[in-house]
Amino acid sequence: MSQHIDAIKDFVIRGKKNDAAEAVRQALAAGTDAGLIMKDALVAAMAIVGQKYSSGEYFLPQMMIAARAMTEVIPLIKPHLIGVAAEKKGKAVIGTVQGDFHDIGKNIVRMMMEGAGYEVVDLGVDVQPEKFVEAVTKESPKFLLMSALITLTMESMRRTIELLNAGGLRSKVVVGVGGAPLSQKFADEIGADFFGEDAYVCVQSCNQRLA
Amino acid sequence: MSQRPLVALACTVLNDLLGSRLPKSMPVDWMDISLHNTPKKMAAALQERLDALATPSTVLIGYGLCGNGLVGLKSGPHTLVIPRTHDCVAIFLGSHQRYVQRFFANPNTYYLTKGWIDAKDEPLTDYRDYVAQFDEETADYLVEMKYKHYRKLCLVGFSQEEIESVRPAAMEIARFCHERFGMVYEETIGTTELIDALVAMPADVAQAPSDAFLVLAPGSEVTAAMFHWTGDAPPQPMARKENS
Ligand code: B12
Repeated sequence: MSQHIDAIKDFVIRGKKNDAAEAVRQALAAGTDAGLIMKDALVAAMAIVGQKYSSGEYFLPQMMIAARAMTEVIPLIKPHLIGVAAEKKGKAVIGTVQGDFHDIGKNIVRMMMEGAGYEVVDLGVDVQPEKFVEAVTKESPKFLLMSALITLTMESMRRTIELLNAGGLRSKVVVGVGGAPLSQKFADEIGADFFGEDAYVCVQSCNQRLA
Repeated sequence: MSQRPLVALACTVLNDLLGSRLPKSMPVDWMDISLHNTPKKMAAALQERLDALATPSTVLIGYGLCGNGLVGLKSGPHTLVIPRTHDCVAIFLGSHQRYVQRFFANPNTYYLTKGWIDAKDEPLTDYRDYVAQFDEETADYLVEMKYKHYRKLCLVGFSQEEIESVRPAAMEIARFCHERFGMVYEETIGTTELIDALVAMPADVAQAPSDAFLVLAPGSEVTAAMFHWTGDAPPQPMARKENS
C-alpha cells in the first residue's frame, strides 16, 4: 500500500506526469484509498516541492512541472473521492489582486486547497476589490484568499478589506493573504486574518480556523 | 573633509543605460540580472558587495525596491542613493508616477528593453531554454502558463536609434508572443530622467536631496515604507551630513 503512495509522491515531486498517472491507476486498482492518495501522496509531494523551491534546490520550472503532474492526476482520483464521502470542508474564494497577473503561486494554492478538500472558486487574475466583495456576497465562502506579487498591487488588498468592512461582510469571512513580497506584518497592518508563507501553510491556516 | 568616493552597484539590466553615462573612472559592480527572480536573496547579495568596499563611499544603487528585494539592506559606513521606485520599469519610464499611471492603465503589458534582450531575459529565450532543458511539450506548457495572460508586448527604448537597432530582435520576440498568446507589439520612448539624475548625484548627496531618490545615511537600513509615496507613509529619512 505505502509503496504505491511513495511512488506517486516521488513522481509528482519529479514532475513525471505520465508515470504519476500510471502509478495512481495502479494504486486505485490495488484498492488504495483515494483520500489517502490525495493527502499523503499529492499534497505531501507539493509541500516538499514548496520546500525545495524556498531552499533554492528547485527553480520555477521544476515547481511548475510538479504542479502540472498533480493537476493531471487529480481528475483520476476525484471520482473515487465522492464514493468515499469526500470531506467537504467549505468554500474558499481565491484570486490575484487588481493589476497583477502573477498566478503561478495562486494556482498552486488553489490546487492544494482543493486537494485538502475545500471547494475553491477561482476569480483569476487582475481581480478588483469590488469583484472580491461581490464574490463574497454571492458565494458566502468561509475563506477569502488574495495573492499579490508586486509591491504596487498588494495595496489593493487593504482596499478589499475596507470594502468588506463597509459592507458589513468582514466578520462573515476569514481573509488570508499571500505572495512573495507580503509578510505577517503587512497582513496585520491591513487587518487580514492570516498570512501564509506558502500553499501548505495556507491549507494549515484554513484547517485551524475550521473548528 | 575629504570627499567620499562615488561608486555604483547596479543590476545588469541597466548596463547600457547607466554604464554608458557613468564616468569611465567610476568603479561599478554589476550584479547578475537573475537576482530579480529571487528577491529574498537580493539584499544579502548586495550587502556582500557593499561590505567589501574598502573605504566609506557614496554608492549609487541601480535597483528599485524590486519585490521587497532591497528590504534589510544596511548602509554600514556608506551612504546609499537609491531610486525611489518599485522596480526597474519605473526607472525606464522616468518616474514612479509615470509607471503607476501606465501600469494601472494597462497592467496586462509585458515590458521589454534592450537591457532585458541583451541579458536574454525575455519570453523567446525563456522558451528556447526550456526546450533545451526539458522538451518541447514541457516548454510549450511552461511558456503558456507564464505568458498567456498578457495582451501587449511593449518595447521601451531610449532614442529612435536605439529602438531601430533593437527592433529586429524585439520583432522576433513579438512574433513569438503574437502567435502563441495573441500579444500585440508596441513601442514607446522611455526617458533617462531618473538615470541622468542618479549619474549627476554629487558625492555629497546631502546637497542634492530629491524625493525621487532615497538617500540612506550611514548606519541605516532599507525598509519598504521608504518607497511609499502616498498616504500615511513615514517621511523619507534625511541624509545626514557626513562627518564634520
Ligand atoms: C515568474 C515571474 C513572472 C512571470 C509570471 C508568470 C505567471 N503566470 O504568474 C512573468 C515572466 C510573466 C512575469 C511578469 C512580470 N513581472 Co514578474 N516575477 C516572477 C517571479 C520571478 C516569480 C514569481 C513566482 O511565480 N514565484 C513562484 C510562486 C510559486 O511563488 P509565489 O507566487 O510567491 O507563491 C507562493 C507563496 O507566496 C504563497 N502564496 C501565493 N499566493 C498566496 C495567497 C495566499 C492567500 C496565501 C496564504 C499564500 C500565497 O504560496 C505560493 C506557493 O507556495 C517574481 C520574483 C519573486 N517574487 O519571486 C517576479 C516579480 C514579481 N515580477 C516583477 C515584475 C516587475 C514583472 C513585470 C512588470 C515585468 C515586465 N517585464 O513587464 C511583469 C508583470 C506584469 C503584471 N502586471 O503582472 C517584479 C515585481 C516588482 C515589484 N514592483 O514588486 C518581481 C518581484 C521581480 C523583481 N524582483 O523585479 N513575472
